Amino acid sequence: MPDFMEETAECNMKIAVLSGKGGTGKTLVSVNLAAVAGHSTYIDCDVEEPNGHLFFKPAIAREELITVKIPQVDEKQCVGCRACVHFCNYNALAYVNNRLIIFDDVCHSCGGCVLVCPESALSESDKAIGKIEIGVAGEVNVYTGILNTGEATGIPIINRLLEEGSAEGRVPIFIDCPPGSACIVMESIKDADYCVLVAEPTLFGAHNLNMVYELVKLFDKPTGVVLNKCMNEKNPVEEFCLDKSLEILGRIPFDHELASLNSNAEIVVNKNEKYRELFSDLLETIVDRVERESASHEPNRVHEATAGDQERHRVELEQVCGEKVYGKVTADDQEDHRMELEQVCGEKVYGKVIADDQEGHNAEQEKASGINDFDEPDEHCIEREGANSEQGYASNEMEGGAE
Amino acid sequence: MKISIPVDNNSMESNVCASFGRAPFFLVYDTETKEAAFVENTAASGTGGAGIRAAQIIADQGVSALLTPRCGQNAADVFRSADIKLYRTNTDSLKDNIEAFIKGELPLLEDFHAGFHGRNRGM
Repeated sequence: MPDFMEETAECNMKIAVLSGKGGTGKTLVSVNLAAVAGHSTYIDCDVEEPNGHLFFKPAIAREELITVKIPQVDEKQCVGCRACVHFCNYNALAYVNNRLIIFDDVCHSCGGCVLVCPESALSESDKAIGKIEIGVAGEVNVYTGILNTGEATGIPIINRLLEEGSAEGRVPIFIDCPPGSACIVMESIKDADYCVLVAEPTLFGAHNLNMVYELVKLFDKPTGVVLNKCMNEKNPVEEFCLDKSLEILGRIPFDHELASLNSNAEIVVNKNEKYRELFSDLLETIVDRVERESASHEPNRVHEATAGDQERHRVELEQVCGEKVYGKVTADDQEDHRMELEQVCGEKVYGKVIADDQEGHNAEQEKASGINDFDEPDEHCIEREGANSEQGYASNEMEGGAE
Repeated sequence: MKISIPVDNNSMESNVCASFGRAPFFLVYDTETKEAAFVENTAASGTGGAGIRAAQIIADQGVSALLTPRCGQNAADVFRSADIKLYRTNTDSLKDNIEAFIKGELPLLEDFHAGFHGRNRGM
């Protein structure tokens, strides 16, 4: 484990690696980050084509079959009322020639048909859709989800994988997501603390990056981009990142040796010191960002501030500083207020400064000093007016509350 | 004998619809009485399993045969259970296909496409 990881072992470190299309390097990035982190967890959520295990070659310690519930009919009980047929939104049931037909492939396992059957003719049975494999490769715990060919959805497998993979708490956890931006990806990132988007230096790369960017924006996840297959030419993805104020966490060069090692299912950081350094630096950057996010409850979110957001921030800030705030509210304003608050209360203040913090600190201060420091609120207010002062705000509060 | 055909519009001048499960209407036609009725396909706008639901609608009309350019496997399973025979249409024209069927010129439809049936990614 690299030195910089030691202090972070306790914090939440679920890092999802995504891309808008297959073949951009999600597995390269997540496998090598896990390998360079050492003591870590690698979860392969790309259940339709899992291949992280080809790199780790883990010793499989346990397998678990993943099943979904599908209805089965007791024909002796069925009276042909069709309540189930009418209920099913996916049309997984039909009733013809006095017989109920159930289409397992179409069923979404909601269980509704069983509930609505007035004759209790339907019951649920398990149908296997795939499995998870739990293995060990050195210090890395490797979790692999495998969906059977032809099954409708791998989401139950992903849910089980994430549950199992998080249970042991071997952080950091790297989640190798399926490509694209559909439901299955949403399930993979829903509990992630940070999203790493991998993109190729092409127009397609920028287009597909935009798709996953829109997705993580929807989920309000802190995020950064890794550029893969970088060459010394114009990169449309760099322009995209600049345009969207997305941080570029690292660049992986278009490199014959790296591509060749990776194509032979080698973990590149174990084969060449320069790649170890590359991924070690990338890991350090990502860990730093995740820590920053968990230290601050106001993550550096990727959504562009809307007029509504601005208004909300303005109201919050006004509550904190106790005076009208004009113009655009920026992150710097928050920072200023944090510094002021730290000066007032004499200790570090973490996370977003909110009105409650102010209230709490005022109460503490009063208790400690035994006197009301702000017994002449009006004077204070006048004195501090315009200075954006925390004390000014505290005075205002006292005015209403102390008497 | 009652037969059914997926159609684009609810008129005898309509073309045969290229899709079965997503056809807007089905013609239900009695070859003996020449009686024609158009049934709205309520499955057409459904999220999934349109073929199954459409086949249920046809089966409930008590027809013996369906004339269609194509049909998915799930719908075909319903038709098999309902003892409804499937014939492949040979032109776009609704009237021409009815005539061809009556003369015994339409071949049986025996190859069914797998369809998507909720298998598209991320469902």
